[in-house]
Amino acid sequence: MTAQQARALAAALTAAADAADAAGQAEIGLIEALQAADDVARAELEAAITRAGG
Amino acid sequence: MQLILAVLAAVALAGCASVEHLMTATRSTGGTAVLAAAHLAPVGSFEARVAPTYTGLILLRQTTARRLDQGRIDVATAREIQRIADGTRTILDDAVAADRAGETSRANANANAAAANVVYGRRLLEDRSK
Repeated sequence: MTAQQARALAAALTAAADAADAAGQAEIGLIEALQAADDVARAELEAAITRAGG
Repeated sequence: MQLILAVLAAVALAGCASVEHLMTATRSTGGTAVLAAAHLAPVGSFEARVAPTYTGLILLRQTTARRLDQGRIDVATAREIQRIADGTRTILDDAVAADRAGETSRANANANAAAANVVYGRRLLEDRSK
């Protein structure tokens, strides 16, 4: 994993934690956090596809 | 939440495929973090086993998006990888659900299939990158 990828993953997990905070959850499970991070990554890839004219 | 986040990131980034990796990752964030990590994903649990595959899936999507933005892959490749990743996520989520339902055989089979899919997707991305 490159440093850039590590930062991107950390950012995705931060988004998952923010969402948990917003929902009033004091804790978030590892799998649920990773699922939320994947949801963010999926949306980002979809946006890149759209930008590329797909 | 910030402490838990730090642990999540450390565990995910380390891959947490083994007890040693999990403990190494958590120790580096401070003594309290070890307790949080144990709560989030018990050492040796199925969740700790599949976490690296989720991480690999996330990185596959992120790397694909970046390479598409850089013009290093075409849209068709990005779409194909998105489709593979979506299928992998479904299998992976089902593996977790099966484990929680006590269906060990289905959980293991799906976890193995998902891990193989991530490797396939990564290889496809490399093969088609300029």
